[in-house]
Amino acid sequence: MKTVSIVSAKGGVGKTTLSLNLAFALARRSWRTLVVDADPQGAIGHSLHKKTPSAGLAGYLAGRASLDAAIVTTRLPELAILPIGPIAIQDSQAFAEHLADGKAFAALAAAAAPRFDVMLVDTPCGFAGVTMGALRASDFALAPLQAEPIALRAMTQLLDVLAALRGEQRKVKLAGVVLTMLQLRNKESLSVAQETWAKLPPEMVLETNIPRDQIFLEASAVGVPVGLLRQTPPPVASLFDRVAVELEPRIELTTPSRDDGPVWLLA
Amino acid sequence: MMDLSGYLPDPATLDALLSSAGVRRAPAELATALGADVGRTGDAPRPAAAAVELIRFPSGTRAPAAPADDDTIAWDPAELDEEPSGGRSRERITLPPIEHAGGERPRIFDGLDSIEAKLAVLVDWIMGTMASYSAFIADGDGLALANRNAPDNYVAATALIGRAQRMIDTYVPAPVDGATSMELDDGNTLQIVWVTTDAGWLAAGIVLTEPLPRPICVTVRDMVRAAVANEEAR
Repeated sequence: MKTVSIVSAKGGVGKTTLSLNLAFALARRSWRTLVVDADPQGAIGHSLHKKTPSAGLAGYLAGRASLDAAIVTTRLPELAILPIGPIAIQDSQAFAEHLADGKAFAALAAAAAPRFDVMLVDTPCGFAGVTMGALRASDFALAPLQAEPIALRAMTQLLDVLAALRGEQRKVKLAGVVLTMLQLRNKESLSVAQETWAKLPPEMVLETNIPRDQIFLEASAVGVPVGLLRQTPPPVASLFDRVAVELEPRIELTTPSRDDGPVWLLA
Repeated sequence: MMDLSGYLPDPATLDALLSSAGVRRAPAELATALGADVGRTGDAPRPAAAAVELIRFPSGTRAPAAPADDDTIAWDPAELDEEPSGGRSRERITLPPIEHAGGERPRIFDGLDSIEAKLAVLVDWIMGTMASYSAFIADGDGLALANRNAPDNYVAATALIGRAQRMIDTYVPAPVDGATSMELDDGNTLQIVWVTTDAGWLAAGIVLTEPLPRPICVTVRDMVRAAVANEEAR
């Protein structure tokens, strides 16, 4: 199983949107995917339509629930969600401190490994305890980069953190950067994208970009991945399929742990 | 092309950061906005920057606990079991080599002989870099030379628009290598970029959320010309 943390120094860049929709796309491509909501704000939980009474990540780590009981299954057999769980707000600091060394995430990964091919961890913004813990236990980091000036300026923080983790002999590697909220007709947004394409190594930046699109708000309001927003998914849903395709070799998702077909056409 | 605004640090600082983070830096000659992601760098890794101070997480004072709801999990580390076990072994993974033969950065058309293969790569590149939903390259008669996901009627419409544009050129002069955008019923845009090439007058059709700005159209035009360079009109 590969563990991938979705991280960003800046908030509101589309981490949760990327996490949920990428997880959905990976699952649609038959990868058994667990998306972990490690954001005490419970962003993924808030993005879902139904209330999830699961004990969640907090309950699992506190020993209140087994992993089976803590995860929430979905209509896709390959996709499961581990919501954050009902953490008392005054305890979020202690929660973050407990997770900071990465051991709790490593234990979660070990428990999830037999059942999943990939675990995506949606982290809080910034590089505080929870995010550092997730990175310390991750194989890869994936960074959504909002195509706006502040986000690009904050990019150096991610590089600093990765350098620090390399100093700790951690295995985490940068799987790539995904430009999000891109507006090609907006001068500042375009200049950020141009600078990203020009100055960062080509292999660092995914070719697929996520545009700023009203459809994400719509999907979030309804509480589903954009791929489930309509019977015929909106075109933007296909972008996450392409992110998934690009990401697979980057995170070494190349050896299916099960029979890889062919899938026969006739019933 | 628009000047880059300098949101990232200067090249030397960025180079050091990338090296420290284990990411190889693109060579300076890659500083073309859209051309930057059409190849991979073959340059050698730079020496690591000076050691970065490790990030510390000093123990904070825990806020006094408020009475918890029955459904709320009070998070007190003292109540937890010993630290979770079963962590996976930490095998250090090094970045895979990215060098190419000769140390040169390959272009997206490198190694491709046929115009069909080059145009197929080109439409994929257009879709990836411009966040488009579909893209195609067609000739002036509406024959699709390469197509990803675009309905046939979009290709046909492109030829009709091109023909109409040539007819009205007497009254409303427009460059032969211009661009036309058409708002679609679903709120998206069909962006058509006209380009005169060695293979004749072609159109790049791109479906995306908003019309492309002129500099991007110029880049598309250059890429189409590069794809069909040395191909005579059929």
